[in-house]
Order: sequence, then structure tokens, then C-alpha cells
Amino acid sequence: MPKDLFDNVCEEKLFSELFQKHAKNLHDFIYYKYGEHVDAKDKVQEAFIKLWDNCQKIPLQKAKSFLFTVANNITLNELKHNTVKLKYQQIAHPYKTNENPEFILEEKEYLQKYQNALAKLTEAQRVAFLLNRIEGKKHKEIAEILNISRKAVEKRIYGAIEKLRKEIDRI
Amino acid sequence: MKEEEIIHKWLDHEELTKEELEAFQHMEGYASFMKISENARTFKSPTYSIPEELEKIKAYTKPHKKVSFSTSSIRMIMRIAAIFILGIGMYFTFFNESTITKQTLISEKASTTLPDQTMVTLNSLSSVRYKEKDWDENRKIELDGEAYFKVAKGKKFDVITSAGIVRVLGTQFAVKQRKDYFEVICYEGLVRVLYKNKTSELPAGSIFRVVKGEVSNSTTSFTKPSWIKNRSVFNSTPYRYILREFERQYNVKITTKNIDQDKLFTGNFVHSDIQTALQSITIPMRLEYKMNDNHVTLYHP
Repeated sequence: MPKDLFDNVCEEKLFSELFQKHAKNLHDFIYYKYGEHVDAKDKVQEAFIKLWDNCQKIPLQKAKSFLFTVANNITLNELKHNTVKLKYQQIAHPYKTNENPEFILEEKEYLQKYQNALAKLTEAQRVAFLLNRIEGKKHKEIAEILNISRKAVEKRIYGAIEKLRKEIDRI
Repeated sequence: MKEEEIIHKWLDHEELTKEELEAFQHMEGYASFMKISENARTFKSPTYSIPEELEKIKAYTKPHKKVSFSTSSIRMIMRIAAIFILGIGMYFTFFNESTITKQTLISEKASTTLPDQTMVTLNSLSSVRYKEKDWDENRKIELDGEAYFKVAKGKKFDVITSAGIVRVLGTQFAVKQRKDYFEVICYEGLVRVLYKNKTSELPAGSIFRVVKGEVSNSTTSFTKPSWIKNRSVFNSTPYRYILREFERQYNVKITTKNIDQDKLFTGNFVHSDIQTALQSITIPMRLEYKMNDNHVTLYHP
């Protein structure tokens, strides 16, 4: 294993690079995991500030896992006393133009079902699935972000889509 | 099993072959999968601008670096200051030229040895000052009063007084410098006296004397100053200087009544017995004296 060139992340330039590399993924990870009522942007900021304050103790290799662990823990601390309520922001389809009222109602119902089904997924399944479908990430990339094996990612995503199909189609 | 593999491939954003695509399209859940996949976009996370967020976080991360810088610079200044203090201390300990002073009080005599074994004997109320550093190279001694020197052989030896400079090479001589009075007596070797830009050379047994600016030369047969043997000897010396010397040796105050102090006196007095000494200086001048504590009055009978 090659030795890391930097044994801490106190260098400002290095810190900026870390931010550019991980901030978006970290934000999405928190958002898809906990939903919209958690301010994911805030959590990202907090995690990076913590990284900066402890920069002496953290080697570059450990920076990513530090950020994800800290952001997750901060969010969990906040949610401790609330039951997790998942609610996803709905965006109107800009590409659908043929809008007869029946279709719109149907569409709305479908999304409602979708939303409920997503809430029933495990956190792990949901994060992997949404990173895959929405952010267009490949299995390998997700494996890197979540620090798990590619096989595990595959399993989670497949499990998620099967579960969603069953939930949505059954009702 | 094959079906699942195709779904995995599709999920991993891989391009499906024609056969695989066909198989996928005939699968039971194909329509549902497509719909789920398409509609997932509605749940997209809010827009996240990396540059904007980075700008925000920089407000928190900037001061951190400054703090670490300022503490290290204070430490640096402290280190420099410590080196300076150490250096100044070393300078004063090792390089400062220490001046040594030796002095005597009224009715006191003292001897001192200089670093080159030159002997200096001080008469009453006199002082010498010299620098110990480089003494062998630079033999200079400042004299105020009266002293006898027995100089070790070596380089030039200067005795600096307010009246003049005495320069010698390994010899024995005495210097007396008092108010309006400067006297050098050479006992051995050769002495050079620098007085008011004039140089006089004194062979052994010569006396160089300046009284109130008047230079006179005479001779002596003594080999050492008499005061070393506790006796003051005078040869044709104005009477006032005898009285002042008497005051220095016995710590008394002398007042005179209608006496001409410029009369010359030849004679001596001892330092051990004030009654005998007073007789020695009054009888030859046909004077009488009265003594009251530390106060002596001389008068015509």
C-alpha cells in the first residue's frame, strides 16, 4: 500500500479539493437517506468544519469516511427524538405535455404510492437505489461512496427495485 | 437467474445487447421497472452548488490557519529575544574590561602587585586604577596621589597622572602628584617624564619636581622613598607641602598664625609618633604648637 503523501488535511488547497470531491455525494447521501426535513446542506457544512477543526489528526485516506460518519452521526443526533418521517420533494414533469385531468390524477396517485414505497425501503437500499437512478451513478462509484463492495451495491439496488415494484403494483 | 443478471446489467447503466434487451422487454415486470426508473427523477435532491457551499465554509476555515501562524511567530520572537539576552550576558561576563582600583585613606599605606609582578606601594590618600585585560601588552596605570613603583622588565610602562605622564622601562621610581605639586624621583634605571609637551629624562638618583608650574631638578642619594620606612623627608620644599603631608599622615587639621608658608624646609618627620613629628617640623622653623583633639595650631612664640 503506497504511503500517503499528506498525513493531515490542514492544507487549505487540499481541503478545497476534498470539498469539491465529496460535498455533493455527501449531500445526496444524507438527503436520500433521511429525506427533505433534514437540512442536508447544513450537515455537509458541519461535517467539513469538523474535519477542518480536527485536521491535524486525520490523514487524507481517512478524510472521506470521517466526513460520512460525522455527517451521519450529526443527522442521527438530530433525529433521535423524532420518528423518521420521509417526505420527498415532488417536481412536476417538464416533459409531459398531454395533460388531461384523468392522467394528472393517475400520475399523482402513482407518485404517492411511489413515495410510500420508497419510505418502506431500508435506508441502505434507498440510498443506493436513488444514487443509481437519479444521480446516474454506476455500481462501482456507489460502492466507493458507501465504502462497501460492488456486489453489495448490486444486491441493494436490485432488492430496492423489486420491492418497489411489488409495493406499487400490488396496491 | 439469467433474468436477474440482465436486470443487474441494466441497473448498472450498461448497454444491453439486442438479445438481452428483447429478453428484458418480455419480462413480467419490465413496464413497472421502466416506470419506476423514470419517475425516480421526481425525487431528486435539491440543487447543490459546490462553489457556493465551498465559499460558505471558507468563512469558518480561514481563522484556523491564522491562529496557528500567530502562535508560532510569537514563539519565534521569544527565541530570538532569548538569544540576544544570552549574547549580552556572555559579553558582560567574558569581554567587558574590568578596571581594578586600589586606594588608601588618610594615614594608611598599602602595597599591591600588578599582573606582571610590578610592585606598587601607595602612600596615604592615594589611588591607582588599571585594566587587568591585556596588561602585559598595554601597561598603563592611572595615579592620583603618591606611589612608589618597582617595575618588572617588559614593554613600556606608563604612569598617567593629571599633571603628566611618566614612562619607563624596568626601573624603580616614585611619583608624587598633589595639588599644585608634581614630583618624580628615579631610584634605578631611566625614567622619562612627559610634562606639558616637554620630555625630561631622569637618570638614577634624580628628582623632577614641579611646584605651582615651576620646574626644578635636583638629586637624591636615597634608594627608596623615605615614606616607605614611615618617614617623610623633604629637601628645600615649601613649608605648605610639609604641612599637607603631615595632615595626610596623621589625620589632623593644621592651622597657622602669621606664618610664611612659602619658606623652604629641609628635614623630615616620622609617621609613628605625632609629638616627635610635630617637634621635627616646628623646632627648625622656630615655631611652637598647640594640639587640641585633631586640631593643631602653629604659631610664633
